[in-house]
Amino acid sequence: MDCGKVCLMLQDDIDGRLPPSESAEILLHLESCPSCAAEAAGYRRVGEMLRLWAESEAGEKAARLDAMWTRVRAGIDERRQRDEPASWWRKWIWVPAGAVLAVLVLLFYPSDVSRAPFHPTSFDVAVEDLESDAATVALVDKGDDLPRVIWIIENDKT
Amino acid sequence: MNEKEKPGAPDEALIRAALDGDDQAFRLLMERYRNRAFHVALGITGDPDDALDVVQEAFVKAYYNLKDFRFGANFYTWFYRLLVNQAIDRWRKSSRSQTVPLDEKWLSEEVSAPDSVMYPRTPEELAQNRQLSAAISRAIDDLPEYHRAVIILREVDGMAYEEISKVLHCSVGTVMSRLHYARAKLKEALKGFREG
Amino acid sequence: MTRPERRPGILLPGIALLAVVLASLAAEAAPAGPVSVDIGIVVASNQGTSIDPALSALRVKLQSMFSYSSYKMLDRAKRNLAVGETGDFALPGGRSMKVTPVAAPPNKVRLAVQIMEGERNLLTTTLGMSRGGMVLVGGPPYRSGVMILLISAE
Repeated sequence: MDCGKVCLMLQDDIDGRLPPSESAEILLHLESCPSCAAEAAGYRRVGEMLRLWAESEAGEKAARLDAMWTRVRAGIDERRQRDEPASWWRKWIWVPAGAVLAVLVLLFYPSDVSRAPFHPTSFDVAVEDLESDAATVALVDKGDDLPRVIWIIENDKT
Repeated sequence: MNEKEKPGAPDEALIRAALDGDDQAFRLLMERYRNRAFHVALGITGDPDDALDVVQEAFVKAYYNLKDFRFGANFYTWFYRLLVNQAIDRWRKSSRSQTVPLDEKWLSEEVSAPDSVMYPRTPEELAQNRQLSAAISRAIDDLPEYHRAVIILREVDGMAYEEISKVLHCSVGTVMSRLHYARAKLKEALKGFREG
Repeated sequence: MTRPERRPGILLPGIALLAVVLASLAAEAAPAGPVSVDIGIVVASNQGTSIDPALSALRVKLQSMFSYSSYKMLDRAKRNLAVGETGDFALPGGRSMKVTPVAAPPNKVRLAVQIMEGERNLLTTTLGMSRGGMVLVGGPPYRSGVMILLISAE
């Protein structure tokens, strides 16, 4: 098999699309032809480098990938709100129906924590310690009937 | 423990549960494919932040279109169709898509061979070799979008040619010709970095 | 012959007092039960005027404390954690939070909370509250607004 023919078949060989006999012939040729062997190595290196490159970029975003569900959930909720009819009369006409449904749900179905409103019974919270390596942290009190707020001001973001 | 909670529950079990309103089942499905999806989106858009947005948008789209999924088909092929289209759209809207046609750029750009460089063996080594990493990014960016999609799906995701042809709605022959073209162009881009 | 005057009964109050004492001893001796930690992840911004229905009871308070016009709940997570058990919560913007109930007097909860952004420690704090109490932690930017966490426990 000559170099010209081998070079034309190299990629098909890498992709496993040649019959075993032709693949064996190519291998034999590569063992004795440094130029064609270099071409074959060059093609294989493309795949190796692409995989390393993708992994190295993904590694830097690992934390954000881990939190992808939060983003997806936000997108789902955003689209749900966007698709809801905007006209006020359509909203109001469902209020009595919604009230009836809510009563039925409360009576017959287990409560869904993801939709249950927050009803805190107390805002009396002791903040025993506060520490941060990467931000300035402030404790804000605006009155007994308001929640205490711990506010994080990241040092490199204003 | 019900079917969907078992480790390695089949995609179909999770899809059925998600269609019944179980968001946690959809979450499990999302977490199963999110890393692979990110790799593919990254390869097509060329930008990690764009890739994260594309993955989010594709999963949101999948959530709302799950009712159109035909049981018996392969979920990841179905999902990748959404993902690749989303990624290509994003790339087209980005400034990176405003490039000269491929061949002219290759003719005009000089590839300066650096001093001999050991090819990296790990992602960490590649991350440290900024020149090589940038060359790979640039070379991928210079490919037409469908050639880029093919080589990423094949070389990074390991997808079979027949699956790629279903994702991209083209024949296997077209997949092969795009793949060979893209591989040849990337080989040229990397040839300046010789093994030390 | 007249019946002798009955002294006021001491048996019943005595039993009641004994029951109260025994119950309080039992409460102190019993191991602390699991703590139900409820986390709401909210994005506050000036884009739009919507307030998530789950925040309806807090609307007026939020509006008096902050100047944002919109409060959107991105996620809600409720976990039952034993004392010493750490719950992990994924937060938007590449952040994460660990919450660990620590030893506390009866009817109180104490939570050790740590919020990280990658390897950076944004906040480490210990909070003591009554069961059903709530505290807000906010400030980190997210998209066009800021993230505010509603942390409550019972």
